[in-house]
Amino acid sequence: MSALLAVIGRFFTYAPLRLLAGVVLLVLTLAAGLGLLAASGYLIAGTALAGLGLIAFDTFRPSAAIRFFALARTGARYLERLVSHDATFRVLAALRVDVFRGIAAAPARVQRRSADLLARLSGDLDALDAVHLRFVAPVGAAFTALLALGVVYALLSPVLAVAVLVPAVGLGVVAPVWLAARGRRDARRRHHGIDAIRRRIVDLDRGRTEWAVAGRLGEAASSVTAAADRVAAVEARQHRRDMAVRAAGLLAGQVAIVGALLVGADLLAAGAVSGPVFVLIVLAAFTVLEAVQPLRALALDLGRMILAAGRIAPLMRVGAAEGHRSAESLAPSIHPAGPMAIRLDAVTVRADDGRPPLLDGVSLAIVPGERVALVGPSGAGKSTILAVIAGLVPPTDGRVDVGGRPVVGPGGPDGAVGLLTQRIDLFQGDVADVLRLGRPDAPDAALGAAVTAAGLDPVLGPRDGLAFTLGEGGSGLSGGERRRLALARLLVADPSVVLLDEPTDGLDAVTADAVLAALSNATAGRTLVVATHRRTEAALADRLVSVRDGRIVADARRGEPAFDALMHRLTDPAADLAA
Amino acid sequence: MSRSSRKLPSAPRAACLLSAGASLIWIPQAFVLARAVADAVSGAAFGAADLLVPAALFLVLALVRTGLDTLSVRLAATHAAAEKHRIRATVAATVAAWSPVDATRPPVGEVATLVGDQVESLEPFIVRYGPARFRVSVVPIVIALVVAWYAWAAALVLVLAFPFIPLLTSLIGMEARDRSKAQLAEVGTFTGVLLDKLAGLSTIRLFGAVDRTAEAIGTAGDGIRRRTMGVLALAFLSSAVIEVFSAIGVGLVAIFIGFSLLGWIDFGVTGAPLDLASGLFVLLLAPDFFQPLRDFSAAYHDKAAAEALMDRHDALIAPARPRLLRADPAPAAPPVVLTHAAPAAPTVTVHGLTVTAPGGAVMVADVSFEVSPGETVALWGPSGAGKSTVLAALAGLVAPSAGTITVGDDTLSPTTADAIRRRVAWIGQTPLTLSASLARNLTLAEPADRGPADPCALERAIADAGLGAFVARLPRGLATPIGEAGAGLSGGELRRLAVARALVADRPLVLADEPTADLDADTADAVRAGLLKAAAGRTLIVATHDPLLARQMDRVIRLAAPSAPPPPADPAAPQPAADPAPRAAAGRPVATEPAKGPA
Repeated sequence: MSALLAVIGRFFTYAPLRLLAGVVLLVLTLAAGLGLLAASGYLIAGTALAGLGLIAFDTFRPSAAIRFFALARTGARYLERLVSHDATFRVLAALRVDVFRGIAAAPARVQRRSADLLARLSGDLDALDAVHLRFVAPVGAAFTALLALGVVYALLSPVLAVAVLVPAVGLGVVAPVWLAARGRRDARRRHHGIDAIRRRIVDLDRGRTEWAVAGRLGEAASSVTAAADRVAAVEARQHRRDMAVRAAGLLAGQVAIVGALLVGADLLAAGAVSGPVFVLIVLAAFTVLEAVQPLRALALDLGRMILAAGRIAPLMRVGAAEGHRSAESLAPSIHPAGPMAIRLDAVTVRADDGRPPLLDGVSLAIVPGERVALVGPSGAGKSTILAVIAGLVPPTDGRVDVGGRPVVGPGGPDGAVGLLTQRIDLFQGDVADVLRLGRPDAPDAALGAAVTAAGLDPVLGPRDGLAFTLGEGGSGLSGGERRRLALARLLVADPSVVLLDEPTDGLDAVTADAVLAALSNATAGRTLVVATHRRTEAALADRLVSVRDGRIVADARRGEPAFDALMHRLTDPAADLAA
Repeated sequence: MSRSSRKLPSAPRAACLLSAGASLIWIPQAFVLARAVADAVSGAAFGAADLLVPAALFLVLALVRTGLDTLSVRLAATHAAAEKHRIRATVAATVAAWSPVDATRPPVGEVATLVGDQVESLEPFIVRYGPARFRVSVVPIVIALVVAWYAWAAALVLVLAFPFIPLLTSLIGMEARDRSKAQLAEVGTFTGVLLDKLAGLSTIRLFGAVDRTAEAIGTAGDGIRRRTMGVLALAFLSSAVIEVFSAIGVGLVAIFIGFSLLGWIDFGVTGAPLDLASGLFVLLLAPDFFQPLRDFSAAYHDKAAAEALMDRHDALIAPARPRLLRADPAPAAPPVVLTHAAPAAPTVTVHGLTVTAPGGAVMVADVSFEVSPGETVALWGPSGAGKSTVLAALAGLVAPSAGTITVGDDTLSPTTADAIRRRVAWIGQTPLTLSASLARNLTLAEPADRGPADPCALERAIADAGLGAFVARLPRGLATPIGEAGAGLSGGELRRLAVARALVADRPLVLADEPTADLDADTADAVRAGLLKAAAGRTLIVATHDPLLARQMDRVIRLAAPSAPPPPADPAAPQPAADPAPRAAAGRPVATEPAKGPA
């Protein structure tokens, strides 16, 4: 619950005036609704008494009030929806910026579990999107409207205020919120159940061959159904709670009306109010019904919101702090020039699960402009060495320097290190946006040169060139094209040290050749480290460093016999046949 | 849209009736209340003490109304939960029957989103939309009739203020469409923008672009907000129209009653002239004449969401796809009795095997071969020749459209498929891993309720698969937990895990699909060695591009691509030079020749 309050607090720091204006307009809508009904009742009671000749009654003011309230209600409602939605959208945009910063600043350990985080993120954000529109605004408006009603009633008689407000607030606001908040454990269980359904159907699909051959396909399918059963069982409990909330909300209004009727009748009998005012008192109590009605759907929403807030609030807090920090220190990075040396001193990287270290005391010195291939079986630690040099993985022990300065964060000192990862990440936007990721001020000429060097001219030429737009995740390009675009992006950033992780893995031979040719050209004059198990990729290098079980086991330069021996052990189907 | 709307599950009739009943109880409540108020005003009742009976009656009716309303919601919600469960179960059963060779089957992420999240949109549709739609067709008519009983002119005002329902619903429909258009605005959603960037977060960090990207997310969000608001400003107008009609309706009724009570108007009254009680009664009914329409308008977009769900369901789940051979489409686990006296290595005979996808594409055309007991055989051929499909057909993982497959004494058919599969060990490229211990992952082929596996057999399998050194370095050995999707295992280790799993399963026929593709030389060596160990005393059939592996088999069976046009290039395809037996004629449909022995 405190996390939810933190999220709500955050909402109000983003767009305080707009959100408040939304609540005020909601109260005005309720007030106009009350006014419409009360003025109508007042008119009828007054005219009835006047018709009997009991009192003199001015019909002009109540009928003008009816017209006014009828229009005011519509106008207030329309404005309220506009203002509240606009404010909410502003908050949603800001919330996403915070969450992004929060995740970006989270420790690597959290990021590695990010698949899980991402799978839930969108559902969590959706749940929080509704926090204002479905929780804060209706509860706030209900409280305010009821409070105002209570003040007016109290001016006539404190007993009246109590008779109406106690059932209204107790049954209509407190009970729904309390019951709904009690449902958060079920909300969590249901959420986990739906997670399980998702996960198990993925397991069923990915492992269908194994399940089928094992004769356990039926079992795998029924495990999905079993998770669905659990969800249905939790939902049955939630529905009972939902019913209680709905019933409380509905009864709140009815009890308040009876309270107003009975207390009002006494006031009338005592001569404290006139007949028309008595009718007004009774009809004003109808506001309770309308004010608490939106809270009746809270049972299912609130538990979900609390759960989501528990996960999002920490990210949001970190992200907001990061936002302040970056606003203070937006120093332009000094761009380094010339190739740089790399030095690893007894670097050890240990995972926190008790397994053997990924890197075990690796020391390696690479001179400026040298071209090195890290070779070895999969799982040997090649990619980890690249990640350490690039600053993506902090060493548990030891020291990493690039250009004589320690590597403390991603990209190395002043962004001197560029890494072409095995998995290529591209983003929505046009090609120019993609290329400028590392250097937003790069001139078009630099982009064009990088595109040419990466061999992308024949790809982008027939499309829109730099204006060619990529879809979500950079969709719209083939595997080889994506890789070359990522290479061009790296070249625009112009790093002194280029790290390549299996740059042609998963590409067909023709594409691989094209990528390798582009790489060979484009990395001239830079320090180059490539992790590979392919002979074609290792041929880029003048020095082979063999890695096994997190240690360096061999190191040879071109021309030495050991170099050829290492080269020979690498995979190359065509050469295997020739041998 | 109309096609799928017929198939939408609807709210139970009883829930609709109860919900309309709950709304209509307001009529006697309003009557009691109006009478009580009128009595107090006219002096017929004096103080609260005289109003206790109507107050109690009003409260009893309120309780009944609350009861009916919650019961209605309960019925609808229970029905919705059952519908969601039904869809989840049938999707699971359907997905379980899809063949693994079908490359056109939808991405599992989409199926997971469908059964996990999108199915949820059925609930508001059933619980809110259905009853609201029923109420809007009943409650206003009844209230109008009751009002007309007292004052036909007031009823006329209401009916005129309530423009024809078709007109309003089309207005509401426009709002719903506009809203969904707003949500699907071309640049996507607030969350979509965020997820796009988060998916490549490490790249953004590498390029030092975290701050700039955060700014870009904010800017994109601002653009989405402005465009969405532009549409919503229009969309909200149509519900404002309903509000205006409803407010004007109530106001006009009140003024009519007032003037008629004053005697300024002497028409429009049906029976006796209006008095305070009947006037108040009519006034109290007026807002509830419009309430169902407002509820319906609020629930209208539930229908669009439910339709989107059903369309998605139909697109993903309904199309005919290649299916597994199964005797029983119901997802029930057959009682598997595993005798661990391993049966002898079987003969495998394939005769005239043809596999056709439901769209008509030929995946395998007229393939015939025979494999003797204990023989090791490589299926060799260009990408698209159907190596993997033949292998899958052998395990009954796809139904042949023609031809026969015999394993041992059994001819493959839906009824024998399970028995045949129980004699098969499968080694795939990306083995399934469960988040469970390594030991549990190795014994995946055993039913979950079988006791712990023989540790010696596991150790032996691990050593034979070349995983010995890897397991020795694990902190808890075989008990070490393995993450989902093989977290903590490299690609090579996963592949060796698959080999070890086949060794543990100890089945007489081993089928391996590209077991050495994309591996480094050392790991590929270990996998080849493990495969040969697995082949001892068993029949082994392996689909491969790896010339070294093919040479280690007793025999190579060459498959040619089934028909022109040539299949699209496979990125992993070896070049023609990689043929292990260049001497052989590349004849269609099949040529076999020995691969082993002196060259």
